[in-house]
Amino acid sequence: MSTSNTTLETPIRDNGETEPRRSVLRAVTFVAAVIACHLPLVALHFRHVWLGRPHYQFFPLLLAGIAWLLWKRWPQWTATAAAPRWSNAVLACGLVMLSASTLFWSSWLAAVALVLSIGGLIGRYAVPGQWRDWLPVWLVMWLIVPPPLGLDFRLISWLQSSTSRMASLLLDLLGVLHLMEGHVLVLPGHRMLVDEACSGVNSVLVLLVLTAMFVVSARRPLLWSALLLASSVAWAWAGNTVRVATIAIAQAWYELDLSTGWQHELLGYVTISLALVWLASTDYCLAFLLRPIALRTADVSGFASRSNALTRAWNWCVGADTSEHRRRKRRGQKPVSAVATGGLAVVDESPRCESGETTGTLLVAASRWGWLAAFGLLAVLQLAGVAMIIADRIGIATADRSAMPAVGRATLTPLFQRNHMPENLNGWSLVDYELTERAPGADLGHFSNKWRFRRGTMECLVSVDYPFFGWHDLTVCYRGSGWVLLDRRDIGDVDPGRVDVAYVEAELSKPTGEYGWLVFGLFDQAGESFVPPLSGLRWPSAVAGLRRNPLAAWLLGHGYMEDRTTAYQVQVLVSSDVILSSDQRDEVRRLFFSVRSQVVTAYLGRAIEGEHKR
Amino acid sequence: MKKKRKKSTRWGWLRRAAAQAWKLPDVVLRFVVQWWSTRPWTSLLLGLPAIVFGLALLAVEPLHSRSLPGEWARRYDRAGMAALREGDLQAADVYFRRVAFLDEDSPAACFGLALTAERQEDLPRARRWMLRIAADSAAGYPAAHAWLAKDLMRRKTPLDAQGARVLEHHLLQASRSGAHALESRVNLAQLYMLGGETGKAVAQMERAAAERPALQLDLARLYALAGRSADARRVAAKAGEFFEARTQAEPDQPQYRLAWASSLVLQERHKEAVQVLTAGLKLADPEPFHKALGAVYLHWLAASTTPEKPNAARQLEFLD
Repeated sequence: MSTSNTTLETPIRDNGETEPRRSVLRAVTFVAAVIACHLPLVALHFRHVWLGRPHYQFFPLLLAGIAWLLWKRWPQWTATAAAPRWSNAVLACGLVMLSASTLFWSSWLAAVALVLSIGGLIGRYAVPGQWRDWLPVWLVMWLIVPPPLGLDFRLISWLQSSTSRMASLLLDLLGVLHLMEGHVLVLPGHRMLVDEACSGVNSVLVLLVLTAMFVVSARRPLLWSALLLASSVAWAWAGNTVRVATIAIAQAWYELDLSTGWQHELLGYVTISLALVWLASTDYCLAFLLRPIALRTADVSGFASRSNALTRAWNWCVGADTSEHRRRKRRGQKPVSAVATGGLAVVDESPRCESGETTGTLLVAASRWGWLAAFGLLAVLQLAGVAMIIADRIGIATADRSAMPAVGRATLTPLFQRNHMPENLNGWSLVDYELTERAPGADLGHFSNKWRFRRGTMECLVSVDYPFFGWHDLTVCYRGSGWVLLDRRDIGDVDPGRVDVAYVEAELSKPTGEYGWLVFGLFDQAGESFVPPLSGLRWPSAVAGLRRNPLAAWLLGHGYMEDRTTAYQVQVLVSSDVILSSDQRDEVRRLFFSVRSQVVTAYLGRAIEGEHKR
Repeated sequence: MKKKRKKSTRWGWLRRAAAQAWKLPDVVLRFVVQWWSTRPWTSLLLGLPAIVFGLALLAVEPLHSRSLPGEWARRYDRAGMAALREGDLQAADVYFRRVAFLDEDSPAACFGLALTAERQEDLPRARRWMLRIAADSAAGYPAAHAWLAKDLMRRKTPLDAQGARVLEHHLLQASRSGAHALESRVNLAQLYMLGGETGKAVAQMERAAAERPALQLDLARLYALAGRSADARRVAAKAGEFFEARTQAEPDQPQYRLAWASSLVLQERHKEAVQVLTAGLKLADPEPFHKALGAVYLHWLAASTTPEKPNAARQLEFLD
């Protein structure tokens, strides 16, 4: 690989502007335009991440970190050379992804496209041979894309279970008698939702991102980086285990409640600080183990100072740079003869420039306009889709939205009251009512209006929980509180468009022998049912994808189906000592339909009332 | 010469490999020395917190699994029972639930939860828990069967035929366990006796009496009811010996003296029975002895076929 950086001749044009400066300007404009073409759907992606993935709400910090890393590891750029083929291939992948994301209206694919396109752009303008500078930063960029198919939620669930289990083992060894029901810690007289939501798991992702940024900025070798990243997950997990165990011990031994309020917050900060300390300590530990073998005469005897194949292999494994060029790069020395132009260094890549300036420039320009046209078309389509959504939303739900503030605002008030359910419903008698308020964004919803109904020996809990952002899988919450899912049936899974009321039926049990029969469903701001998403690790079908595209839906004559909006959950749970008979299940199902009807009527009535007031 | 060179070329790689293998220990040793001598020991010192805490965390699971899940379940079961004894019902509930989580198949959790519900005066729930592990028609947890039998026996309404069958089932199942066998057999004997099944009652009481000599007297009475006078006398004699010994050991305990007298009556040794009871009149509470003497005299009168009649004046005095 050529490492010679000669000063570029800077021909003076007729208008007096230097060619490199024009090239740089063109390059900057091109990069900005390509990135801007992703923005409509990427903005939607960030909105979805912010509202639907509380554990990813650190992404602004991540974006800032990426910007800082780019500044810190700014590679040498060339704005005049022809782009390497592989960078065009990556940019093409970005284009394909953006096309797919626009077609299927997938903001997640748009985020993937953005990262790919940025990779292609960096490759296009970075001086060859500088991949060690920008590749790690580009890899960190992938953290803005959450794992697909809800894998992050699965990871969170696994981490929660694992943390709870470990904390339980620790408490057993310490002699603190307790019960861990899913993620709920139960002590005599105390029930602590210490692991509720993924507050504890947020620290895992935050720590992972901080570590990723640290290893990139400190230029840790690959093996060292991988081990440190793995340890960051382990230490965050350990910190959470300590947090849960500390809460239980404080309650059991000192009757101190650390599960709520500022004490809980403080404990969270203390444990994450501890995790950071352990992480720093691990870095030192790895420094001890993985430092390259750099022999000095004073260190070793004559026997050990001789060259050794194993030592060379070791140094290669731990990423020790031996060549003079790499060592200079690591020290951050710029190439000797680079010409700095507006923050960019314009260097001569002789093999690519020698072929003739005019032909090369024309090719570059043609290629640039081609890319811009393709990306620009997709941007127009995205903007059209966004415009249609805005128009559609204004049409259907002005009154509704006036009554119901969007998810995430702090000014929410409960929407329902006891009298929204009749004293007698389908033969079920109302025996009790309760309103539960939780923190905004809580896993179980900010509010829960709970009615208790009885019919013969059967007693059931009717609850309306809200607001949620898109679909909310209630069975996950029940599993988190110690229930075991025996069976699940998604009604509306087969033909999403035709089901009037889509809902889920689940059969649950507990090791203590209790059985639960759960029926739940969600409705949106227009009072329409949410169709349960495809269960398992399956990609959504192309048809379902097209239905999410407002433009495509309009062209195909279908209704536009937004999958991410404010949702309200209606659930009916019967807990009993025996499995319900099919007749009893029918009764419960009928009750669910009646309850849902009551709730939707009350909700829409309230929305219309709000509109009149407005 | 040429042949020799060819041969050496063919086996040259082997020779080189052998030479490398010969050098390997030296290479490894040199690598170890080089690695060791270039370590930054301050880093190790700063890495110690991670090492120590990591090892401690890694040790949790092996330490916990040194005790089997069954042992942890028993530990929680004991804690639950202790909490029940102390009246800490919340703690008992938590500990018994944990037993269920630790060992799903263990009936101890349901039993403990049922006892907790009983202490919380929620008898329907307690019955439901118990019925899960001791069904009305199948063999289950003996302690739960015993509890359900007691529950049936303490009901104020008389049992119908079905209820009696269920009670018999629970008592039979409870009698499988050593802890509840004796009481269950006695109760079974009573149940059979009330149902007129004296033979079955005797069989149960024989087994109970074999375990507890104090029940010999009841067995003798059952023999008498069944018309097996010889057996009744024989067993009553044994019971008499037992209660005589106990009376001599604890002369102030009226029940032993009364039982001794009863066994003498069953042997138709009325005169001695009267003597035994008369001696009891000197105790702090002579009332039971007065009543018992009256009964003995009546029995003596009814059973008397010989010239040896009871003292009529004394008899009247106690019957008054």
